[in-house]
Amino acid sequence: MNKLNLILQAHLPYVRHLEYPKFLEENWLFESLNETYLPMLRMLERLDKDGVDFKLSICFSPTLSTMLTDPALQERFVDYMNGRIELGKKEKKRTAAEEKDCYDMAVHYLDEAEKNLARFEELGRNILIGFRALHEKNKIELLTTAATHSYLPIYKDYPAAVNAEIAMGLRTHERIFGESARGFWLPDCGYYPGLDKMLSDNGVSWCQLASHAVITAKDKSIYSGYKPVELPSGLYGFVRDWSVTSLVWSSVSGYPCDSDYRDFYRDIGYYLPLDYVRPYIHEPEVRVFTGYKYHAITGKTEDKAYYSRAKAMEKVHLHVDNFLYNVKRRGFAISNAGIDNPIFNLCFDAELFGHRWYEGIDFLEGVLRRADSSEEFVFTTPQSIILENGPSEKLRLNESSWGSGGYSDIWLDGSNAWIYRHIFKAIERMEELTKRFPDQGTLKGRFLNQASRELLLAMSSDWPCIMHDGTSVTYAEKRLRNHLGSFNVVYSAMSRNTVNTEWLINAEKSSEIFPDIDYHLFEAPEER
Amino acid sequence: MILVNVDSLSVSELRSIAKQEGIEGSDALSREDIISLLEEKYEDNGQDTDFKDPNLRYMSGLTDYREISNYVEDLPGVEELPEIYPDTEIHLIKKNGLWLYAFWSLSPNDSDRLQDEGSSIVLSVTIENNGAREEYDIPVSFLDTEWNIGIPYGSGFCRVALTAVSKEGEKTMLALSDSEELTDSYWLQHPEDMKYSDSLYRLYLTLVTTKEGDLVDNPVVREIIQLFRKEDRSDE
Repeated sequence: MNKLNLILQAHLPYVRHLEYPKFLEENWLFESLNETYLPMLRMLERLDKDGVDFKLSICFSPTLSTMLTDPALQERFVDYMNGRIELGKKEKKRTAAEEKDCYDMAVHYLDEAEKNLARFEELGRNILIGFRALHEKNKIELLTTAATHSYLPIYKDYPAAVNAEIAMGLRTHERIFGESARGFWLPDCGYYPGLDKMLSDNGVSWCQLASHAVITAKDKSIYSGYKPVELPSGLYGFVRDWSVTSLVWSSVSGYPCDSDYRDFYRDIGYYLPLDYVRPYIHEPEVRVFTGYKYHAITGKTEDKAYYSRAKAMEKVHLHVDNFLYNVKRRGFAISNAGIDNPIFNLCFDAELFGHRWYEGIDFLEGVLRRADSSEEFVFTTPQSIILENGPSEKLRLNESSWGSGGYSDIWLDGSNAWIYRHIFKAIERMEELTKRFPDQGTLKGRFLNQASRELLLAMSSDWPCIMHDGTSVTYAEKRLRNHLGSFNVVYSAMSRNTVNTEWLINAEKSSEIFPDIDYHLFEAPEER
Repeated sequence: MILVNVDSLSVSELRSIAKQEGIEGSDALSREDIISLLEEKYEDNGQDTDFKDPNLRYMSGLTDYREISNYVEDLPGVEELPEIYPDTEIHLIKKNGLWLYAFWSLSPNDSDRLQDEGSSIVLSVTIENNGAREEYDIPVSFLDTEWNIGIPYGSGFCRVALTAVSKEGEKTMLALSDSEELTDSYWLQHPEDMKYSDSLYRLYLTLVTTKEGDLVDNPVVREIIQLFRKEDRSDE
């Protein structure tokens, strides 16, 4: 029997700019909701209704779950969806008259948008209620991650800051889902020796690990990652299987690269007349994605073929078969090497499915249905495996991540190294503030809490990652500078023993995250 | 910044991007001319126009089009970040298994005093690896604030001190970093064990190799696999 742990990480940085009528980067949330989270929830609910026995694990990061439960952002999502539906209706007419090859997809997009919005409203606009219901049926293990998805190895010289990220992540999960998380998604699989102890001390049972963590370990591994790793603190590590994951993940040969699948980039926002798309792009006249995309990947060519949903679904079936065949083949080889019932840990960004790989949700559905009807595969969760009390092996690991090269190069390169000079200093100053003001009343306490909030937001791994990738660099840099600048406002004022009340009220209003934050989180471990 | 291979974009997409990037008259230009102009523009900005990984996160369009100066100006951050902080200190971060990144600052007092005295500064690197200690200095200028330091694999640590060197050659430690662990891999330390570990080798390969035979992107893995292969060949 091949055991599969599908572990999805749903994460977006905290983006909320109510001071603008529309804010482009909020579309990251809206696109993910419409193209990944809602279709995925509907797919899982369909499986449940059909009696399919499935299990998987999902991490909703604290920043994402905060946004998903934010009434103002929920309202904006409804506006966004109404725009999508309005455009869909126009597209239905336009394609029927002018571009018949696109008509079926226009209808499909419109239909999906209407269904997603309807489910969103049925859930009282909080999709986490839907995922929690599946969790209560023991279909999903819900886990959490660092408060702002901070890449932790870079902060290892600051245990108080790492602990603040862990503790605030767990606390937010408990506040939103009503129970403690036992699993902790290490942001970008970033592990360093000693991190496991901090997680264990916070009540965490398991985390996931990068695929090369075992072969490069300080100890000799005999299970090679196909059984859980017991880290020095007793925390279990589940090692990502690169071989099986890469069937999907690889940007060169993964299934999403198939020429029949839908092209992510070619979008009517860029090629239809401006007058037509103006209400659905960014003001004043900045063309952006609208989500209405009618072409297949085809190849590296300007002449893209029209997308055929039927053809793409045929490919999905083939890829489901191919995926399970590969797992089976590998399982056979691993069993022959003496490891029975190997565990394959498949770790992905959730947004890959549906958003970046349009057919990804159909693929997942196919895999989960096929596995249920087979004796050779079973989908499970890390916590279930821990409870089975099966074999594991004790290993000491080196620092590692799933980033390019396997270490910290993505978050520490020529584009972003400058940020750590400022963040480290802010952490030191925050620790200093907790010592100087150990027991502050309401207003100063709130002021210090805001400083902690700004610091955690500055520590997000998204900003250096965006700087490295070169996607929305100006925004990432501005956000980082603003959070650190805001932190310095508190530090300067508290150094003079004053509180800037007006500033505090504005700052609290603009970052409605971590309402239960307590600046004592940043106390040095020995003083806690 | 362009996010995809420009070669695969249509003329209308390219014209939209060209307009957003401030290229005038793109309606009258051929596809090839627009591509050349865009490539030129991005090269001027020191940006790479090669194909980008489709798994990139956080894209709202094909370009990152805005100027930082006129964007998000109303957010509540009100203080510019200082260029440098007035403390003498040094930090060390592990970049990967072979490189550490050091950055430091000198307080204005220390900087002025040392320069008045005619002292110089060096990074004093200490590497302890498998019980052997190596120490050496890297001369740096008063303008330098960062340096990459090469490290070996092994069992041990590296740390770096910011050191003042007087005209007479006397050294004074100004700041000391925390230690960074070296990458200590069982298989790099015990290659002799490989000849008895054929089935393990195959298991490891199963986990870290794609179906096309490509290894996961990690230099230590590559080195270990090469050692295993060498061992295989020596058996023949």
